[in-house]
Amino acid sequence: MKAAQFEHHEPTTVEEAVSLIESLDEPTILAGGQSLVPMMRFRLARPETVVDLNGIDELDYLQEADGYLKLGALARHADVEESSLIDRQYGSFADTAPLVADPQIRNRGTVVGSIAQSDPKGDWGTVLLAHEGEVVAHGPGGERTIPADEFFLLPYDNTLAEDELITEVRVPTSGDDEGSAYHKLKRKVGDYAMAGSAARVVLDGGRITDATVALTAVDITNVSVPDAADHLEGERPSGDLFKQAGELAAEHANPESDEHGSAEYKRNMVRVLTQRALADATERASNDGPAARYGTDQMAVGD
Amino acid sequence: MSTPDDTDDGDEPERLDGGVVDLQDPDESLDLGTSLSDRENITTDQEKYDARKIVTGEARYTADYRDRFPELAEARIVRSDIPHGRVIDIDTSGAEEMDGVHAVITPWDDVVPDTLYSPSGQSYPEPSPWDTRVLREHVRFVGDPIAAVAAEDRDTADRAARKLAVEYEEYDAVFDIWEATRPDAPRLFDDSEVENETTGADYERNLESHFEGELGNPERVFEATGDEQILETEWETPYQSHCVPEPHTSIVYTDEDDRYTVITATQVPYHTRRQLSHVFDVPIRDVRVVKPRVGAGFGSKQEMVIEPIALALHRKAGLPVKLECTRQEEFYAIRNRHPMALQFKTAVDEDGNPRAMDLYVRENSGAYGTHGMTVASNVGTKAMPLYPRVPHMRFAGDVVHTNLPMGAAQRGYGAPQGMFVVEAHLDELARRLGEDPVEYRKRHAVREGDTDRAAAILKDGDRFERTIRSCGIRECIERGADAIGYDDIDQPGAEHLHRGVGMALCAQGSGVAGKELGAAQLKMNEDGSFILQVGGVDVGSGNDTMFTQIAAETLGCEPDDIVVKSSDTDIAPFDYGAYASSTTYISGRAVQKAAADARERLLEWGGRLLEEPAENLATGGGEVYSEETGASVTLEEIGYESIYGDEDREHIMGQGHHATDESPPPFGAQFLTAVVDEETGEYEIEEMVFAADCGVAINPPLVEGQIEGGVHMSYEFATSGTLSFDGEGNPETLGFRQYGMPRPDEQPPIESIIVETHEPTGPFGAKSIGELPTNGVPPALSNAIRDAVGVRLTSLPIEAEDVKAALDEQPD
Repeated sequence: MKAAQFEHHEPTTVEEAVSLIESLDEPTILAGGQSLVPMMRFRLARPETVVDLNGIDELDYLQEADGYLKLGALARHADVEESSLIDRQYGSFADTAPLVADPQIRNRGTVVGSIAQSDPKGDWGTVLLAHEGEVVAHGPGGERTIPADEFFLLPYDNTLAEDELITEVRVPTSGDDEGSAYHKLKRKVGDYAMAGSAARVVLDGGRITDATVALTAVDITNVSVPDAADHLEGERPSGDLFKQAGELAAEHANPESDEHGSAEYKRNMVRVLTQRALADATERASNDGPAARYGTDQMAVGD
Repeated sequence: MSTPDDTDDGDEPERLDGGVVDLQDPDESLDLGTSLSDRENITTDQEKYDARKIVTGEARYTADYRDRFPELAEARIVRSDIPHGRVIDIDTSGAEEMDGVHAVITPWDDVVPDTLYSPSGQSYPEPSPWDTRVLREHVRFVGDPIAAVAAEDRDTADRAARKLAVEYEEYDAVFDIWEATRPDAPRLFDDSEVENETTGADYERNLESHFEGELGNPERVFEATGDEQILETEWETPYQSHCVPEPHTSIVYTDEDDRYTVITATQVPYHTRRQLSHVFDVPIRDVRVVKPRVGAGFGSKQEMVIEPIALALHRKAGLPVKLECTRQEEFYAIRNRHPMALQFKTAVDEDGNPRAMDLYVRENSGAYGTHGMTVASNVGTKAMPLYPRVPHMRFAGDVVHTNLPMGAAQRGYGAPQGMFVVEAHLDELARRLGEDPVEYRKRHAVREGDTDRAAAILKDGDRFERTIRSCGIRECIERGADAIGYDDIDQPGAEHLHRGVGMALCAQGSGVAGKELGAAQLKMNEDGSFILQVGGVDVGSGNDTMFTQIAAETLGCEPDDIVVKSSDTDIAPFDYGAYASSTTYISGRAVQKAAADARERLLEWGGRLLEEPAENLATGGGEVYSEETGASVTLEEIGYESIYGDEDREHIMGQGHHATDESPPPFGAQFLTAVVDEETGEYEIEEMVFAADCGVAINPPLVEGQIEGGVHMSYEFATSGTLSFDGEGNPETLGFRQYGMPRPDEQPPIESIIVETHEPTGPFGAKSIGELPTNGVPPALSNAIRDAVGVRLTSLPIEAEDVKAALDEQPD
């Protein structure tokens, strides 16, 4: 099947895009097309107008600036995968990028698009929550920022206004004593997550001073787990501590049985994945050097 | 007690009754010329002649022939969207009024025959029921074809197809193979809807076939054996899609002599010609089927799938019609590997030697019976011959209809399911006996000289009992074990990870015993080259190249001197088609005979020109030469002289055909290592080794290609590829996105090992390779996981959650 007819707009600046979105009747925004294009092809989505961001060069960036790691709306999964900046400092990003779908999709799909889609099975929202990041939106009234934990509402729904465009997502710059990781379980190749867990840890003097845990595919949105974070803060990292945090995350999770797996199995996996993400994040926080060196491969076999 | 197989470990041919085994080819009349030791063109790396064109996009597949037809209509099939019911009415007016629409056909159209037929590409009469019509009033699964449209382009055809308004009377449907045979289950076929029923059919119970066969007296052995010496297991296998790179595609037109010509992506041009003639009631001579390059079939094209619909549209539109399936249709509406539930029982004696085997298969045939009974019967007749010395065997099966997509032939043809059960069960049995599972199977497996009765367990009489004339299974085991490091598996550092190693033996056939015919004809050109006309069908695996090697080896020239014209029913001699791993063994043997026939004429003409008796002469290096004097004459000189000579003239030709009751099994051993995560149940296969005995490998790189492709397909079957449906029979797997074919970056490395044996009945000692490597990964993986963490997985695909559940059920 092919997409139904639609009107295609290709602005070249953010300003132009925002005014188009304001003036058009129910426009749909196209970045990488990871979700939108297949939905249009199968006519699950039949937008009459599409505003295509791919001509807006100013949105194509991935950089550290002003105390943030910033990803513009045209930063692709593959850009994250190939970035040495990410490899050095942002373990959870480095873990996530190669686990998104398949290489073709990673070459086109964008991190911002994935967050805008707000699929509870999407990975990037979980990473954004774990880093206590922000969504930067442009609308007719100018720019505003939305904290990650206020962004997600329901499956495929968020607090973005209808006339707003996400131009950027950002997370605070990662310090030397900070480490993060993402672990994900898929039923088969290229599938969405059956369950996923992101963890971020800051160490000071051998104690955890700050921690976050967030989960994928086990609730109506990507969710963070404040109980686990509270339990970790102020403690010395240990296998037992991570196990307890994993159990808290499993209790917090609200999975449903579906074609990917049973609720019971998913809950059990949240426990294991959280435990492992915390162990990796802590190891990365306490070691110098590239974050990705410490096992981004979930099945890495320690010979 | 002593059994015949615990005496030694050698390969000495010895009959069970102590008699002498004759391993030679029973067909002694053959003089095929060249001795094996020469091997100018056999076991060489001859480049697949179409390889460069395939990778550069120049090779022409069916769809590429559209450029021959300025006025070509593009077609689209309309399919049932209910699982069971009757089409009451189809309103075609919306489509017919559209500009650019040439034809709309429905089951009631005059051009659409309502003849019952089997679409299976099998010999005549098909061993599959005639239960299919070109378009279906009575629809039996979501995807059944009910109408079709031809229009000026694909887009118009798509839009017109969506305009058809279909009215149904809905019936109850059944999706489960156990519920389907209950008396109160909805019935898929009434008596008037099937002809040519197969063994044991009982359509009141949705039973397409029931069969059983026995060797010795298994019942008595099971009764006399203690419970602790009996092991019973249950297994399940799912749908698998063929995932053909080239979708089913046909172009149909009427030629200048008013004959129907069908250019089509098929494995079976001659069966398709016969079936079209039958369905449309036109003489066979008025139908021509042409197979261009084909982008793989894997069994899905051993079938007349869309050709009749394309022909009916052509009759109505009066224009050449091209019909090309979509990827979605390939997944939900065409053909698949049959899902099965299986039960297996063994009895061993006090020393642990297997005395009796009992295998039962319940096959989900889906909505129609194409290849239903024959695939189910191959589950036992391919796997049980691995252990032909087990004296008591029983094999039974039920083939059941449901309102789901149809199963059909798929590479392996029942053998993958059979090997999964037999090889994982025997591994389990060996472990419970405290034996090394590889050693155990090595001791009991088939040997050269064995009389294999298991392959004929479902046949009456002893005609199809076979002597195993070549068997390299022990060398496959030894070299595979060496390559994987079987004796030296170390454990990963992390406590939650465990590494295991698994092995599975594999067997297949080389053609359908007693149901094959291949034929070939060679014609010499003046310059010493040859035109080879051969019915054998190359669907991508390189058979056309293999034919040139066999012909050149016999004629004493180069493969490049042979021009192949194959698989066109007007030009090439008859062939049953590319299935059952038959092409090298059957069609290749026909080519060898045709070449030997032509070689006799070369020697005769060489003798005249060299003035020596033909018996002193040999061929080689593009010449006929005297072994006594060293004098020689080139094939080119013979070519010109034989055609333009003053005294006598002859067109040098050779003919050959091959038909046999033999179907020698190739053998293999699949090894793999897997690491299992005991906390999540995830596993990763690290390394795979497949050692294959296919007799003499005519073209080793092409053999390795077959091994790698087969192991990949087997890996998919074991780990990821399957179709799913909602509770109403609606397909949920509509593309590669949902299907889960392993991608290149996820394919574990495969090492191919070729173990050479010499099969006396095959062309230059060759057996088959095409299907053999499709059989081993599911049992080898189940065995490796058992080795790693002690649990037995019995259902495919093996998923992390199932491994974890099995681990959780394990007693501490």
